[in-house]
Amino acid sequence: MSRILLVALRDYRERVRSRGFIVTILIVPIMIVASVGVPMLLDRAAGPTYFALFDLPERWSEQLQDMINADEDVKDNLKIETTAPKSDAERQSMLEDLRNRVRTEKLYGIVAAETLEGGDRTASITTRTSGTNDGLRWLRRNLPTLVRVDRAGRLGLDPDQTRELYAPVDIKPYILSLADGKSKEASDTDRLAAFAPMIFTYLLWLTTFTLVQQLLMSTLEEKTNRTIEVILSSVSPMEFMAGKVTAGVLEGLTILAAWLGTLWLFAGYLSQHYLKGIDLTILFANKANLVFFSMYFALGFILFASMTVGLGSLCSTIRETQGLMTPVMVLMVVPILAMSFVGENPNSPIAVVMSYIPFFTPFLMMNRIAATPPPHWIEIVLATSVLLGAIFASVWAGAKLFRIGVLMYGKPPKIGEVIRLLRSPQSKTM
Amino acid sequence: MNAVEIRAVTKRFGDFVAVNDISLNVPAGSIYGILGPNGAGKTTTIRMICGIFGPDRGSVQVLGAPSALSVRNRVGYLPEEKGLYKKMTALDLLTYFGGLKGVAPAEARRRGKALMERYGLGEHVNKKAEAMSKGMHQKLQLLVTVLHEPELLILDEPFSGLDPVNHDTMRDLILDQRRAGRTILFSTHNMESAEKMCDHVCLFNRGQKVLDGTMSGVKANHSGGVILEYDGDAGFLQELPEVDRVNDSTRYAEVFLKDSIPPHALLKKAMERLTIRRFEISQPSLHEIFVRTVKEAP
Repeated sequence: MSRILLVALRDYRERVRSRGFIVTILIVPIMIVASVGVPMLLDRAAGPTYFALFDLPERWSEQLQDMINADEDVKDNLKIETTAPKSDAERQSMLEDLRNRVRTEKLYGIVAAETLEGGDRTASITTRTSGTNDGLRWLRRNLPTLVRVDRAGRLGLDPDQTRELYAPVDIKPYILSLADGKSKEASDTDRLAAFAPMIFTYLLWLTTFTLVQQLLMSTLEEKTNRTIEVILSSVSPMEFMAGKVTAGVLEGLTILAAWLGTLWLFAGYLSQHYLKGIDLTILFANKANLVFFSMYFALGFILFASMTVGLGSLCSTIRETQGLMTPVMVLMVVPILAMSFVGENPNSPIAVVMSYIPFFTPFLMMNRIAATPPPHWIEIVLATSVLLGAIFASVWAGAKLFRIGVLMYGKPPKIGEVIRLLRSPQSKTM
Repeated sequence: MNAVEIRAVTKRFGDFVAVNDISLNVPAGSIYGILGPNGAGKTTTIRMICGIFGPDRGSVQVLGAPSALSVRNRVGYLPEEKGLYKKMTALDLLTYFGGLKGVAPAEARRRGKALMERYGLGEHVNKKAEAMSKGMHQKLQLLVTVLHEPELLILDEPFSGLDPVNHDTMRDLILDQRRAGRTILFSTHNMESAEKMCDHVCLFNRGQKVLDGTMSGVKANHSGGVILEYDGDAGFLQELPEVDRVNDSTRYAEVFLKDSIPPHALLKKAMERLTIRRFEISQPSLHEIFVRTVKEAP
């Protein structure tokens, strides 16, 4: 069996058996499931939100109830009760009572009518906190319609016409198919699919970033516990580095497969049981995206891993690596900052130029490929070719630094010295 | 035939010359000791022999090949700083390193078990390296080095840090390898170990070779001292005109006489002032030869 494969399999086995790997595999699905599932569970456990309509004109209360009944999204979650005091004394005590109920959380809020100077009427909402409750948001959105209709009546306009004038307007979104040029109404699922580029890019970045850090730690550990010297009498530094990077690629693909598999199952479950008419699995529908995803992960990882192993081998502690690794980390962060823009403008000049810069290519090309419209295949080939060239250079430089650095102890070199090391003639036997 | 041939090798690290124009031959089937104090260039020379890095000048030939890397399956190397993967079991470690040396997994496991049994680690085959004592760790490291039955065994400071029991195990293991016809090259700054085991020695100091040859040849070329075991105060010995130098340890002294002074001249004067329990004309120890050679070096 090839020595590279032996090194890779040993590294891979050790990593996938570690607690860190299990945590990494579980953390992303747990975070996503928790971020979606916990609010849903909490909403369900919280039950409906109650508001009291205090001394509101009778027709406002009726219209509000009609509007709530007509809205499927809130009719089960937003409950209103009408209170109409008959005298000023009753009015005062009733208001005090309602306020007490808000304070003791038996009521979420009080909706009351207010008369402004000039006789114009409006509504006020009193709550315990200025929170983000769905019912509160709905009232803030819809109460103005009642006020406007009321105002129209006082101005002598026809209330029914005014109500119609302010009725919600449904602007229909259409999307144009790139395949046949026909347009179709965009569904919630289609709107969701627009997030696919960002999701793919973020997962790609997160995996690469995490595993590059792990590889750095593992290289330092092997150097400091001196295992490396035993190994280097059996394998060449190049073989050893290739084995370690291969193990990282295998580990990354395992993690990504686990993440995507879990998310796909969760998306399917959520779509089937909780989301009416929204198919979350659309995010994973394009198989070509998965192929490009795997390919760009492997290429991106090799690019950054070879630089990391080379630079990391010159140091003996994680603290020492900080100075040398900072430029690499900065390069890795840029695609995340550009991710949203590139996803929405995949063929803009900035997106195109950035995706040809090898350090950004794995992330931004994936971003563009998952977006609509994707880049022409010639662009994919060209950008990937430039990336392959950069990988070749990175592996060469990483291997050279690794050969020199792996048995070097003491103060790590500075960036200038690293450049001098790269320019120095090749060692004779390696 | 030589297992290792080094010709005019020089290695620098920046401005520091670690090894300067060294040549040596390690005869096949011998135990060859590279001796010298810390910083003499022993480890650098061994790393060049192993192909871990190359010389700046000169050439290294190992088992007839221009680099140990091209015959790595025939060479076993135990570095001075020993490290193993802590999370792996002893048997998995032997299998893994055996695999890197071209031994098939099943065969590596079979040999690994047999070696562990033979050298007292039979109960620990499935123990993780991190759970082993330092002594067991060192033994295991040596077993890793010999599992693939190398023709040439290169050991850098194999006795460093060993307790007496593990020291003897290490010595036995080295002698077993020698009996199996293998060439053993080891470095040490412990002259006593080298003196007892080596057929050939090479002394390094400050990156330069100061002496080499067979053990008997080296000793024959250096006159010995006189060993005295005594009771009394031997401080006067150093003042005697016949005496060149004394290594005095209160009741034991190694006395080196000036050229052409017969030992009995010393005995006569010593008996006048000391109670002599032992008087022996000795060959010089390797330690003494080394000290003398270094002092005489320009």
